[in-house]
Amino acid sequence: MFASILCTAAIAVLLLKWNGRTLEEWAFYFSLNTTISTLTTAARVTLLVSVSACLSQGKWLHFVKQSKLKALDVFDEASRGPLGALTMILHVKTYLGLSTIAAAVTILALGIAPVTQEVVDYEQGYKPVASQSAYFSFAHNYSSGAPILDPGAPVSISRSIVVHLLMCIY
Amino acid sequence: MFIYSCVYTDYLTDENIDPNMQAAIYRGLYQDRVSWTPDFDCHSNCTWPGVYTVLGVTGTCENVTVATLATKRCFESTQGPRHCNMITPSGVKLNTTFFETVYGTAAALNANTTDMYTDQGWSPTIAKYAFYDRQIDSVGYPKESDPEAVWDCSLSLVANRYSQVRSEFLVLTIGETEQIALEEGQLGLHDDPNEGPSAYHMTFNQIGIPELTLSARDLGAFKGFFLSNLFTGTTLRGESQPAPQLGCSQAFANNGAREATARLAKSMTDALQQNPASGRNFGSYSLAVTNILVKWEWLALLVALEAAGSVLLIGTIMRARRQKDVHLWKSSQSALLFSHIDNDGLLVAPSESPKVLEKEVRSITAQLMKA
Repeated sequence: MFASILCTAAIAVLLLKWNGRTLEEWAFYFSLNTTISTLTTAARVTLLVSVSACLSQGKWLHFVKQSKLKALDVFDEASRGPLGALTMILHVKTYLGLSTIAAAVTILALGIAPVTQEVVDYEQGYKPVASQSAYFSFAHNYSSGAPILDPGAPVSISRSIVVHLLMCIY
Repeated sequence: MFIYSCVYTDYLTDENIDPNMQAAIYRGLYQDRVSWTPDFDCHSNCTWPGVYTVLGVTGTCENVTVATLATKRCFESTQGPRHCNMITPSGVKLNTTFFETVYGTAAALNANTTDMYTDQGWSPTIAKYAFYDRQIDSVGYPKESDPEAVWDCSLSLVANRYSQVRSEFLVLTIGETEQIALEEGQLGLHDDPNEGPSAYHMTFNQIGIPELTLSARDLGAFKGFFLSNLFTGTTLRGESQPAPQLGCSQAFANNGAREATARLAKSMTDALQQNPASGRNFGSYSLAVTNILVKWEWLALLVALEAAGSVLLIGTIMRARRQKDVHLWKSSQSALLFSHIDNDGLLVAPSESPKVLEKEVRSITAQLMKA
């Protein structure tokens, strides 16, 4: 159980440290998702080891009071997996107490892996870079340096535009 | 008035209009999508948080059909077309031709030659023009009943106040543009890197905006261009029509006066920003990154199960301590094998601890047999 709590704490610390940072900063050999997934699996397995042990001990404690021998099978199956745990839940009146909690944890542990996958999300963003600058041009004045020509010069399209048009044609 | 003559008369030729500006005018009128490649530098995502006031051009158009058609005067010809002329409220003269069932004026574009000097100074208006539009059926012949419309338009210098400027992947976006009308400007001598010392400039200096100037030569060139037959002209529809001087009348006929003027103003504004005298507004550069976002709520199940597991463990330990006769056999099968049910129906468990049992089972051999 301690190992399981340790794994969960490791996940929390990891997420706390990396929340809001950029993925580009992640330099570990495995990706963030793989690391979270590995820690989650470890937390789940160690949690179920502890729960299974509690259920098995509960089996003996259950017979402190007189009970049907069938309970031995029910406890045994519940400690082995979700199907047995479900059977125990269905007979909750007989096994009300810590055993019910153990059975519920065994069943709900199935959802840990998919749910924890949703913990980390990624979104596109932008990070200011001080070493580079950006600009856009603006005009407060306009002076093209137009040449002075004689009055009465023939009206025509500017020569540079004619060149552009000719380039388009060719 | 000498100054006006100098500016107006000496430069009344489109030859000296800035070729880039002339190209911008045509681009605005004829290109489907006005493609301005802004002069900016940003290779990722950039933002300019400030407010930037720049020199621009704005265009307005007003429908003056009723007032103008009221001035229409026509001159009949016994065997030829009927020529009409009219004048818009802003004083632009328009001439049209109509030859029943043969051809007629579909579009006429003309500019005003009146000066733009007032008692307060120089008007920021750089062109006044009018557009006559007649919807002639392109298949049939021109008829008297074809609808006519007349528009008075103007292009003026304006101060554009840009804010929320940003760029993303080589696309510059100006978030908001506020147009501030310019008051009359003053003509004065300025040192100009392109025109040399003591060049005439129109200066617009009003509170709240930076000083905006326009070279008098370029103002003259603008006026010359808009008055020339490169801009003004007539489009005829029908058959056996004389070769007209089209100018830009066809572009106005295709787009409509308002749309054509708006495109003209936008293209000219864009061209202004790229002229050699433009400055640079510096902003902040950002690099595209992938941010890690933790959604803590999805961790709730794991934490809740850890809490439940801890409660279970502590509860089981406490319960086991209270029942000292029950050893921590947990899932031991040996303990189960060493247990039996006596005649009174009591489950008699072994008294040995799990460790002792483990030692015992190592020395015991067994074989399954049929009962």
